[in-house]
Amino acid sequence: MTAAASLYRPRSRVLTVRRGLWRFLRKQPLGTVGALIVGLFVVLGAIGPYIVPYETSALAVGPRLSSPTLDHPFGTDAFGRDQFSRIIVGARLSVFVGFGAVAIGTGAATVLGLWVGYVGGKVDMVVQRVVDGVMAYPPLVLALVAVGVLGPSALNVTLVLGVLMIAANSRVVRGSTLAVKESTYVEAARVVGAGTPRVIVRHVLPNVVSPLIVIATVSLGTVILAEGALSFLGLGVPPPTPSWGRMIGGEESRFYFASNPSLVLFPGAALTLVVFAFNMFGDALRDVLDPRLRGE
Amino acid sequence: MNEYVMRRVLLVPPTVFIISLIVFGSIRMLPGDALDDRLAEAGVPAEDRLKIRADLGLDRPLLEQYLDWMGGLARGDLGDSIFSKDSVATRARRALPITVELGVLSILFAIILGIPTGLISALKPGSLIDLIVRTLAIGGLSIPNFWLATLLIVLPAIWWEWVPPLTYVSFVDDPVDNVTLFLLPALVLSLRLGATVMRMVRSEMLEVIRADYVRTARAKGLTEYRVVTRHAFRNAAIPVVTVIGLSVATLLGGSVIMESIFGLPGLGRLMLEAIREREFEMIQSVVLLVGVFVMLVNLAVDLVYGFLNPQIRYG
Repeated sequence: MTAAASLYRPRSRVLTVRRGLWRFLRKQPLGTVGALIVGLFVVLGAIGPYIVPYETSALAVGPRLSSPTLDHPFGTDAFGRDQFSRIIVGARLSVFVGFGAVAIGTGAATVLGLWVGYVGGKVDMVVQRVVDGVMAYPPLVLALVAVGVLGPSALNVTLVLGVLMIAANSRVVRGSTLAVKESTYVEAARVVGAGTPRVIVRHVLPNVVSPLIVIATVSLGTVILAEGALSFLGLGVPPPTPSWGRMIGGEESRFYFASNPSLVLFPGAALTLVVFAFNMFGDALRDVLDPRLRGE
Repeated sequence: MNEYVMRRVLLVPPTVFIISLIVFGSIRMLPGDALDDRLAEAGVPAEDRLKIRADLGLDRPLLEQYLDWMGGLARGDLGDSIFSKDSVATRARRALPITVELGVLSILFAIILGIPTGLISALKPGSLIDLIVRTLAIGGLSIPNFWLATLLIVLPAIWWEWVPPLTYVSFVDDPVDNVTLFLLPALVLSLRLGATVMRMVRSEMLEVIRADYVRTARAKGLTEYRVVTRHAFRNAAIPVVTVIGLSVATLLGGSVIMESIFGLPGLGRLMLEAIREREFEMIQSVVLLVGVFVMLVNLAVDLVYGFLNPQIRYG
């Protein structure tokens, strides 16, 4: 028995991970660049406020509305605040909202999707109608309404964007669950006497993880864009927290950007770069993790 | 076929019911009394505030309010706006065509942008042009539309002292000016969908081009052009129709932003205004309208899909 068990023991996990990483680096150069940018973004989100040259809420650290100079590489805003520092610190909000919302959204969606997919029947039928109902809505519209009435704060924005992701993501998990449910190894596990929770956690879940990782990565980009859009429309996180979306469309730039385009240019470029990085990374992950979708 | 259509149509009422419950419930469950705050801000004295609440029926039981709202909807009455003389129905009727025009133009642009590029990319996979098109598509998915729209207003103004038209002109008054007004916002709004269409066309074409019937078509000696247009693309186009149909919800979301930047008085702006003014009656009805509209479009797409793809009717 022990000999047989050791024969079937999978290869060392560390080794498999290292191999996977190496393959990813070699086959997906664009994805690697994306991953590096994502990494930088997360680090800036964590340490940004401690490394910036100027205090972001400090007014008049430079002249008002200055164009980019050596002292202020991205210029200054209408209150004389340093744009470069504000963009670096703005990464923190995007990281918080992005990862928070995706954690809520994919976490709850996984539980829900696994459950209704595996149990099926009436429960599934009812849940799917509710999902239809939610998915009939433009997420941005629901987010606007919800944040509009709950009141704008980082926590509310995160909660709302996270909850809004549950419906669509649960459908992806449910789809994969339906496919895995019919497989012989799930049947085998049941025959051996494993209970429903055990089958779901030990046998179904590991097989729906790949699509989940892919959705989570791409959703990060989408959520960060959505946070930007909310802030742009004035329904995001209130000042003084620097937010890229508000830097583009908020009071601090709306009346001045016609003469100072750098006010709009740099925060938007930062947002685009980060979302672009998440999308490239997500695409590369999809190619590696889900070969069926490769299409080549 | 009939059974399939019936089943889809029968699902409409329960879904509308659930949508209405979600909308009604989420607005009523909110803590505090935002309407009261808003009226107080507007300087309305306390007893008048109570009277306004009674007029709006906000002091009655929830079930009664819900039934009242539903009854009004059935009669085409969406309620009254608190801060405007026009009823919600009148304002929505005025706004809807603007949003629809923006949406239709965006879909057109997305098709024009997405299909040819997707085809080129799929016919030469791995080539330089494929790489460029694919990178541009990821760019299209990544660039924030509100940023691009802002830049498109700001930069030409600085470089050439040209500003896009920003005052709304109705189609009846001046068709040419009206369409010109929509061109820029529709183009910006179409980029995301265009990129999605491109990626879809590409992956579907790569799939289809290896199919047996394409090989048969080639073996018959058809020209490559005919093989691609008549045999491969026709089959690749089916899922593209679905993607475009399902994107209507996202387009409506984006049009909130475009309407607010380009000064188009459509549904999106109406909703944004309602949210800013905390006009719950209006938010509730407009949001429900949007949901039902999207659901009907999705239903139409499903039916078209069933028509294009005979296999699904028996599924």
